[in-house]
Amino acid sequence: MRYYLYKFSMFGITLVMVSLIIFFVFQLLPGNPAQIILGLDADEQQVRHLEQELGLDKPAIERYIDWIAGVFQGDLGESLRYQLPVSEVLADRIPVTTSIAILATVLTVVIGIPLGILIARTDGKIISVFLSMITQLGISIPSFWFGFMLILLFSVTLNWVTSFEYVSWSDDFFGALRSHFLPSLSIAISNIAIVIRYLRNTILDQRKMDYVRTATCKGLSERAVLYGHVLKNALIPVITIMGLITADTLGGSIIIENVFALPGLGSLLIQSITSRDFPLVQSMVLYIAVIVLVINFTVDLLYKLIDPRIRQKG
Amino acid sequence: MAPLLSVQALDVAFQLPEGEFLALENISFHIYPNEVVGIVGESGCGKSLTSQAIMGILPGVASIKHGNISFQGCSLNDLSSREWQELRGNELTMIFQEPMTSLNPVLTIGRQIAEVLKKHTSLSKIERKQQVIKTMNEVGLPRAEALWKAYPHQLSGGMRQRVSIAMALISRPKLMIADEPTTALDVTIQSQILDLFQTIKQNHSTSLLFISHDLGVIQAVCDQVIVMYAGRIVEQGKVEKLISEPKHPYTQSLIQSIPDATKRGQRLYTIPGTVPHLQERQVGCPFSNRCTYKLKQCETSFPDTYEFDDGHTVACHLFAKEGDGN
Repeated sequence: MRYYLYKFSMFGITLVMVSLIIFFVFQLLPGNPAQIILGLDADEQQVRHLEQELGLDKPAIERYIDWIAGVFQGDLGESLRYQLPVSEVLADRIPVTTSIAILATVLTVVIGIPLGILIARTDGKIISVFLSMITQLGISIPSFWFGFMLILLFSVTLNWVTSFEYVSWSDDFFGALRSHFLPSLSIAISNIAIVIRYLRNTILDQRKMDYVRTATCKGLSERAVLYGHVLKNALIPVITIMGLITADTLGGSIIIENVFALPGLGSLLIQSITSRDFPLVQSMVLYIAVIVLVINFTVDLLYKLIDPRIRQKG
Repeated sequence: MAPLLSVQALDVAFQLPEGEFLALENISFHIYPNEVVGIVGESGCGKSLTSQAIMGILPGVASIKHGNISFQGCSLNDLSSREWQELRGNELTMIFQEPMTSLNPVLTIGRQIAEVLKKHTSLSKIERKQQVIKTMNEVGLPRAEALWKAYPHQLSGGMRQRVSIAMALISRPKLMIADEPTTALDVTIQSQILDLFQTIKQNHSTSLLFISHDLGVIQAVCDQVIVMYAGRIVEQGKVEKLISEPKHPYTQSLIQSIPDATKRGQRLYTIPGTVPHLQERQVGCPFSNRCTYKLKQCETSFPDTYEFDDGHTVACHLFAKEGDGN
């Protein structure tokens, strides 16, 4: 109980720190949102007027306090560019990025973990060198390239998927699955390669441990030793990597969203930074920080679940 | 009586980047039913390697070059991996030195012991648990019910070693190999574990191959002793005989270096020098450069094995009868 209380107070402190840092960094950026909205031709009078309307004429500290007080009341403020509540803008974008992230994570786990085990099992054979080279390529090649290749293969050559149109889950489930699948896969490919390499290495490391020798001397087959003894130990560090990967995808990918013309968080973040849409940027950064904290917390819980040594310390 | 385990003229070689090196040379010994055999020698003598060769778990770079190991009359050399799995943990079991690392950290004690029964018997889950609890009590693990759900990190070194012993004992093996089972423990725990081995010896019809660098420990549990040096057997015989009348200069030095009450206040004897490394072994007797009785032929040829009464054998040029020396 004390552990959770401690965790949650740390959450709060981290979030306030993050919002403070991003607010003051943002103040250092040149450019005036009112000017950007009105365009370069607007005269000073108009700009002044809009600034007053948007509350930009108040001192920075006051604006920050106004905003953070709003956040505590569940009000993220109003986007300067869209002239809409930030929560509404985000509510449009978050489901897109989240479903892609979830699908990509599922693909990473479902493909990466079995392949990692498989490659660890072929260790020492020629095929393992070949497979290592493929995973190396998977890590080195940027995901947008996979995106282009997948579009080329599935929609141009095979004509299976008509990309470039976004279908939401509530409209048409299978249509949505189709429109989410390729971007998720292109994000997943390099993550799969990372998981494969990582899992392979931890399995090979774990295989050298004394408890493996003990298990072998009980008469267990190589397979039984791998699945019954090695895997649980080898997955512990993989959970950390999976946490990092998941947090990263939940924040949205600018490039993949552009390749597949998806209305996700990545593109929104870039747009809101270029238009100096402070309330929107601030809220998005806060959202990403919350995600990272939640994922880290989940990773901690998973650790406790899988590793009795950590369970006791907590 | 037929021996339970026979090792005959065993050579084990290491394939290293520098070339092939014989780590074990011409190892021959027998273990009879209900017998406790000890192997003693300094680190790097090939004691553990011998036990690994018997269990079929030699490291990847090592392989049997020559000779034969047979268990209950069957050669182990060409066993398939399935046959090995039938044998290991069942009729042939092993206890390791490192109680801290030889158990799986993420599995419960109960599961790790019961696993042996799951593999080798058709007992139900409840019967397995009963059997495990019984064996845990037998090896002196208190509150077996509570320990069933415990993890290795919650146990002391001595308790973990008892868990390892329970794992090796539960299938009623014909032969148990214990590789330095007391070395990593502190002295009081060490003597408790040795007592446990004594009890096992009395209550079970199992043979034991007990490996230790400590002749004092060997003396406490073994019937028969094998003294190894640099991958060779230099002397073997009945434990009382070998301790009271050691033949080989190496055995004599080992006995001199056991601390006991009569040597109180004196500086404990140590053997000068170290065991030659695998790559540095030369022709002749490997002990010759540390031996106070060194003869000329010690540098040029490894001695033959000479036999005394009661199966006591020694490989040393000092015992060459006239006429058969070089």
